[in-house]
Amino acid sequence: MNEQDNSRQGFLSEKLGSFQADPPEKVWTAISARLGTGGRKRTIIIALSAAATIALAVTLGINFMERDHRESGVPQQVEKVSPEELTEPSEHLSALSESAAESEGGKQTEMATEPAAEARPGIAAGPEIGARTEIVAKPEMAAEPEIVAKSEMAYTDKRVQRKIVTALNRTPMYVEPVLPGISGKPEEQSIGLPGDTLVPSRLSPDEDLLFESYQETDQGRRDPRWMIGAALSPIYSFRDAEDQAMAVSSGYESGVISYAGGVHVSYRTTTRLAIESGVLFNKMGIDIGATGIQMYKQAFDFAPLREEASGSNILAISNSVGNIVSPSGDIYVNSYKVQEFTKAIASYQDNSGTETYADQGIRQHLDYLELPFNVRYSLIDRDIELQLVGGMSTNILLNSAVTMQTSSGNREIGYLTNIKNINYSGNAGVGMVYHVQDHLSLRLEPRFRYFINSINDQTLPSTRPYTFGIYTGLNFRF
Amino acid sequence: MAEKLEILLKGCKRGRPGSQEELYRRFASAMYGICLQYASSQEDAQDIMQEGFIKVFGKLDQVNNPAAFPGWIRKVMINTALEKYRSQVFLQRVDDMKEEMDEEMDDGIYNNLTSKELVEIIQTLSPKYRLVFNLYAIEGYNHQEISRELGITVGTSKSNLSRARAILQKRIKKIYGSAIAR
Repeated sequence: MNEQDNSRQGFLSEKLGSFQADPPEKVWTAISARLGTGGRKRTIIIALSAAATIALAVTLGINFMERDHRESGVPQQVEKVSPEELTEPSEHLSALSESAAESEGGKQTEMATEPAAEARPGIAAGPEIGARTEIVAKPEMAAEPEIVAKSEMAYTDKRVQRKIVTALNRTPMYVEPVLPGISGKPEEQSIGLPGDTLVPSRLSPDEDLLFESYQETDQGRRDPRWMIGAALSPIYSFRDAEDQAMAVSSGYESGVISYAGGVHVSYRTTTRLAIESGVLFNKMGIDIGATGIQMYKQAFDFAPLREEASGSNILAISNSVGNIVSPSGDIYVNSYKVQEFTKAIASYQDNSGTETYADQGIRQHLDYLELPFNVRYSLIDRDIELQLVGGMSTNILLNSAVTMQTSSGNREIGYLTNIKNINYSGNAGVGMVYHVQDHLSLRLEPRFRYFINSINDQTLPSTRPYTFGIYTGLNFRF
Repeated sequence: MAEKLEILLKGCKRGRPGSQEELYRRFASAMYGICLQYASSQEDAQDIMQEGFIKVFGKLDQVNNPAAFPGWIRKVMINTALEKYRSQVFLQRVDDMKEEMDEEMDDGIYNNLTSKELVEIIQTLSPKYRLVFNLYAIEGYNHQEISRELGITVGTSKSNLSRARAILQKRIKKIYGSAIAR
């Protein structure tokens, strides 16, 4: 590298090293969008993961419940009756009759075979027939797989149930002995059992049970009584306050758009009525758009505030919700009310002592854990269900921080005092539920929530927050 | 200033949008200047700028000393630009081949140009020349460092630098005429 190179390099480095140019605004727009989008993506992924986990748990639960039901609750379809029982038709019918009477617990098939064992001494069947002859309840054998399948569907479709009931009423019941080398209709059989003797004039116990169950519910699709789901909603939150409180913040405060979400479980008590509870997180708040609100350090040598500032470790300003306390001892003033100071001092306008100021005001965060207890009433009960929702919620305060939006970002400046930790709210909404499948439904539900009690303590004017949200989510019934 | 920057960086590390925008505003002009030097066009520069700042916000935890931040962010931008064009370092443009020549360098040419004009001409170089020229003449890298950074040999680095200078000189003369070159 020669001297000329060095000289040229130094010159270019100096000339271009400090070169600056203003980028178009769209560059920052794109960057901020990507930064923001990343956050939203993470939130969506977390929400979807939670929903998927719940869905998986519910699906597995339903699957196991159904498996248990199949293993323990499904009656045997093929009855084995000894040949001697065939010689005692009256006993067998008696057994059937008894079993029908005692079949409310779904154990009718076992009952039907028990008395026959006692009738064994009167064996009339020859050895060529075999020691035991299977008697198959023909209609059950032919139709029962279908019946069982439909009962497993929890009678979800009215039309299917009607078909079942119609079929049960129409189909004659008879017992056909399965005898080697013998075929034909029951009345043609040579075992002395006229076919019509064995045709019950009523439904079998199994079928009775099915029919009664259907009659009781009258809404087959509503038979699954439990439902669990997850819901998420953008919410608008603000507050209603007494005039005295409004005077403090008149013209400055505005509502906040944030979000709420959680899980809920409900139990259907009747075909149209259900009770519901759950856990929801509500991110609420109030924007205090006091642009230019100024913050002074307590230790700052600011004459009008010095004496008062040194006399108190905790100084606060008020919003309509309560007193914002700054643990650091910072003082916030402009036209806002400052506790412990005269109006003249509070409204003192002198930027020389400003440590920082809010570019976009401050935000009062109010995050609650909501434990609702709602009642749901179905107005329209179709594939798209329309429900009225009403109830109450217990709201547990999780966060009452206050942040200031300055040019250098959001800065937590304090927290709210004089505020209750446990609050109650009334809920009202309209739920629209679309039944996608037997166990799966989608929910869209505008809901309004209004705090019944003032969230302030008695030292401050009454303030009641409220929220409005449109909840969407997935429900699983089981 | 350093204290303010420290507060800004803390805010950015916590993901506060206000701090991120403030940090961007503070360094945008300088970083865009770098991007323009390394890019072929305004659009490319904007892409590099965007990618660079996304990396900056994503890797801020690496910055413990606020005083080192200006150098660090500059390095991030340059590396982002190098990543964009590194694959093109080995490509040879036909028009560049034609312009290869050995002319006596004239510093007067550079003296009479504004920074903006100079950057615009540098942008017309193909990536293989522009990257070597920028790294050598502006960032102060030596040829060994450039060879490591771009994955080329020292000889190639020297050759590309020489050709870049020649091409620049020719283009400056062509655009601004002998009045500037005087």
